[in-house]
Amino acid sequence: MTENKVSIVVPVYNAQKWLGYCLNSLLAQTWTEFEVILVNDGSTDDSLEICRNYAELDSRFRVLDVPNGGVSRARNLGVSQATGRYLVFVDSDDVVTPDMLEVMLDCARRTGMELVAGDMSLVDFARPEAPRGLLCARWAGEGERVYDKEAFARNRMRLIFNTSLLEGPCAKLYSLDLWRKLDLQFPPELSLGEDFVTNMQYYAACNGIAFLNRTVYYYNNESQSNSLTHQYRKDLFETKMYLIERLREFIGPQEEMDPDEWSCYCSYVACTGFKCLAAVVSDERFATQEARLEEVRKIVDDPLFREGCARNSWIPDEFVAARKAVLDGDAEKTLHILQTPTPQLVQKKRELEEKVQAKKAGFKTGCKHLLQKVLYPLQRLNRYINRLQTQELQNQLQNMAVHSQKLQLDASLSMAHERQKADFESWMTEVLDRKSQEHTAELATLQQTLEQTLEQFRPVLSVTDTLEQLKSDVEMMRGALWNETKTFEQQQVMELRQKKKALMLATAEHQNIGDAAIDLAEQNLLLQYFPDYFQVEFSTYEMPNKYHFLQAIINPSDILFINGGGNMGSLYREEEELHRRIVQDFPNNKIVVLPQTIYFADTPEGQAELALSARVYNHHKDLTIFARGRESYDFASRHFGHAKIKLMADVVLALHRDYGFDRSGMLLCLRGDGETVLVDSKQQILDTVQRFDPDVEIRTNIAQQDISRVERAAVVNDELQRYARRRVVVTDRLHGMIFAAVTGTPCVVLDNATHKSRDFYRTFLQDSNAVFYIGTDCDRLEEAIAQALAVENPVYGAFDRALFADLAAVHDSM
Amino acid sequence: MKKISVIVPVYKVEGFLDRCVASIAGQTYRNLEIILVDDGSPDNCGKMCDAWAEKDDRIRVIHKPNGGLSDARNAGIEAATGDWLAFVDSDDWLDPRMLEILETQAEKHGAELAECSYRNLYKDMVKEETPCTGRVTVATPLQAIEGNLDWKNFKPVAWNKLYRADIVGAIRYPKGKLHEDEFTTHKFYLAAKTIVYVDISAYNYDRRREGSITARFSLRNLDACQAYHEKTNDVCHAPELAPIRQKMCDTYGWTLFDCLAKCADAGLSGPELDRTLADAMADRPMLEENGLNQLYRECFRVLEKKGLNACAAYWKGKSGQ
Repeated sequence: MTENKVSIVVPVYNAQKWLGYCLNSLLAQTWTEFEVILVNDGSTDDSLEICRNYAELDSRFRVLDVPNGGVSRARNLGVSQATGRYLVFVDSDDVVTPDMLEVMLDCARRTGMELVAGDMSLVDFARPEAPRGLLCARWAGEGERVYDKEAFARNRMRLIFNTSLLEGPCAKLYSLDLWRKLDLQFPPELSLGEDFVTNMQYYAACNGIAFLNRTVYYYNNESQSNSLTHQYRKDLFETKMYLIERLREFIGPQEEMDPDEWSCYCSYVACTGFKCLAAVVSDERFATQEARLEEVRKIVDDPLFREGCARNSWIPDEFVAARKAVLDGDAEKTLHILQTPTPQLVQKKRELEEKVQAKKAGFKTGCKHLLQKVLYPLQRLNRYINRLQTQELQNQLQNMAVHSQKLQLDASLSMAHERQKADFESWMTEVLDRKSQEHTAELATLQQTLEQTLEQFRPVLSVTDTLEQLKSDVEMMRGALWNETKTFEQQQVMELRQKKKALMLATAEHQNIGDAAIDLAEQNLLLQYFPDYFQVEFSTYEMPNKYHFLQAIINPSDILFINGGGNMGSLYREEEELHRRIVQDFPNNKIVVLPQTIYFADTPEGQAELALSARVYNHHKDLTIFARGRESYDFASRHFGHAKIKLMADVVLALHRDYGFDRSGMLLCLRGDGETVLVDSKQQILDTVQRFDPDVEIRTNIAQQDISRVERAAVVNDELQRYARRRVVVTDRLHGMIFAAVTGTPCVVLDNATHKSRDFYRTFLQDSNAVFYIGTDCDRLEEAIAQALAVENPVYGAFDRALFADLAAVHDSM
Repeated sequence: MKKISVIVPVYKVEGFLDRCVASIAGQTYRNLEIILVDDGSPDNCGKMCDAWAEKDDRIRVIHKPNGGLSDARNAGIEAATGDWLAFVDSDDWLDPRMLEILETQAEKHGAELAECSYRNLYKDMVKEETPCTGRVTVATPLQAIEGNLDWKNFKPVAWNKLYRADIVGAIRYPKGKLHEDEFTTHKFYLAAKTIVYVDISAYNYDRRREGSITARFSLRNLDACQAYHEKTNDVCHAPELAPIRQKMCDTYGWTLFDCLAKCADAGLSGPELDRTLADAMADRPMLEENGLNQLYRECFRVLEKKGLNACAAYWKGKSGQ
């Protein structure tokens, strides 16, 4: 039985976090003939209890408990108690594969080698899905590799340097007999490399070494990175040099060595020295630069290190620049070079900073969306409550008035009635005031909380953590709000379902001022033409979240208005998908698409979109599409013939009014989005315009931030006033032209990708004396501007009710 | 030396069967009766089982028409002659000493049931279910069922346990149900007087094949609600389990409303859903009497007043999902 018994020595020191993991992996060994000697090295946590529990469960486990004396003494004690034929070391926070003993024993018996080494994988056990790297025997050659005594002697420096496996005691199967014969002890006085010294003695004596090309050992990177081994210690360099002296003795004189082996030795020494130098440079505990320089000088002056550097040894790239300074014995220069970041490092740092910036930006957007999710329901709630209360009070007042008429008949009571009415009115005012204060305060508190939350994360370094934290905070707030909103929403559904409604769908709340103007004009027109309908608006942002709500409140007498603009077609696919979904989901309602430019690209994708849309639109039984220009009208008649197609000007024309400002200078409004066709001529346009007005006002029709429906009117009016103060506008934006028209400003118009400006111009403004359309011909710009400046009395045509009379027809058809 | 009957339901596991059976046959505990239940597997599994029976005379094969996991385990129970029973799923495997350690500890403490922890195998990592300490815990049925509810030590799964044959009696797995061990585990605990938990990982649970089946919620997943319905009734009617009634009711509540919300999300309906709702409404007075958490009471109220969708919406808002 004891023929093939393996003794596993496990030094245990404060390892309770991973010890069970380690011991389970030993308990699971498919080779069952082994003993485990657990040497508890004075742990101060629950390690000893855990060891004893396993010993209680399985008689192959034994526990030795000694006062803390370091890992070398613990291992030596374990070995002294071992009774097997083979010897294996496992550290208490690492894990081995269940077949480790089986495959190593098999290899030892097949090859007869007195040492078997397996591969070791570095894994962060706290995040086991991400392996960190591999110390492996692949560098010894592909597949299983056997080096007998002579071959090992010829290659040992190469193997030590390349595999990184031969310094430590783990993932190896030793012969316990040989270990005992050599009377090996780990030197307790060495705090580092004690295992390497002992290993070299074993290597010198053993009959050879077999490398398994297979991972048998998982080295726990998580517990290592927390330990002290990574900090620079006063004796680090001395200890390393002591080890190199031992190594030198082990490999023998240079004259007897193969030149490749010698160069591997030099590389090993050079790398070791430079790692020490790097540790000195990065260690923050040096009080002064002089102290640091002193340490560097000690290393640079070391003859063994300089010998290693002198040969053509291999060292990592980041140290190449310092090699010459070391060879010159110039400590100051060495330190200077190592302290100057290399271009690679600078580049890496920049990449990291960019990553952090990108994360921050993404984080901000995330916050913005979350804020919108929280604030919108609250604002809506607020407004709705106010409206309900006003209505209710008005009803009460009306009842009161009827009642008072009766009372007036009774003259004796009229005095009392007057007083009562006055009391009621003051009471009502008071209630309204109080309610509105309450809600304002509530909103302010919420906003403040959100701002505080935002404030908290700014200085914090770890962006991801804070984002998670913020998300969960906002989620919590959302949870609290949710119930309230839900109850309110149910009331709202019941209320709204009864009403006859004009629903404005897919309105814009993004940064485009032209779209905001469309929304504003639509609001006004619907109030004007559908005064008996209750207006409800759903913006494109809200549609996904509020779709179920929309479905719940709709009744057959409602009219659905799909927002106008230039988004029907294949250019903005998500919008078009939304249009289709609305038309498909509400087959029993009248649906009106407000004036749109329709554009499906002549590509396979564009035509596929068109086929989809045509099928849906032609299937609806009461769909009206207003086209914003002749080309769109013809296109729609051709493809959406089953729907009612009508021509209607852009609704923004309804915003026309006389500003009466004094006019001066020019305004240039060019698009910067995918619809522009003037990429190359931008500079030419700007130069030309500046010849007329060096201080030309440059606009894009894009606001800095999203425009919510609350800010809509203010933003649009501000923009229109800018146009109304200028003498001439130059633009390739449709709404640049329309803003010029409604403010009575002469303008020069360039074309865009969807030709919507051209189409609109030809359909509605061709007769005007104030619009100069030049397509994409920038050479004509100068002449056109001169003409526009010369217009004294701009005439744009009549922007009266007739333009939108078809809306009245829609109303009458209900 | 007592005999252990190890029951292995086999169905479409060609690539895993040898690993599983080898790990049982190679157990350090030798006095075994290994019952391979070929549950009408359409592939080569039947033949592989027979080949194993040829090689090792402790192995017996039952060939039967397909009836599902529970039915196969039940067939194994009927055929077993051992003093102890264990269940192993055929895509999993055992560490070599699992049965020996469980049997030794059960005998030592006079327990009728013994269990241990397990390793989960995922595509790119291995994760032990809990950090182990090797500690042995001796428990009453009350403590074991509470352990299930707290997900501490004792787990409501069939295959990490050793069952003394005399406690099995009439207890069987529910045919054709998912979550079959949620229906059954507490019955075994209640039939035992003493239960031992050994805090080591010795069972290897291969979850790599799981994804496809469990990913989408279907009406079959409502079996979990039925399991909790039965389990809660058992717990509430056993006087010795009075201290954990409230915890049991809350766990039922969580499972119930979580499943209902998923049904509502997926727009599922059918007799299974009707039955779950009927059971739940019938259980409601019992749950409330035993101190059901306010949240679940409110869920019940919304469910009754405003229906399933409103209840799902309310639950999601409250549970933050």
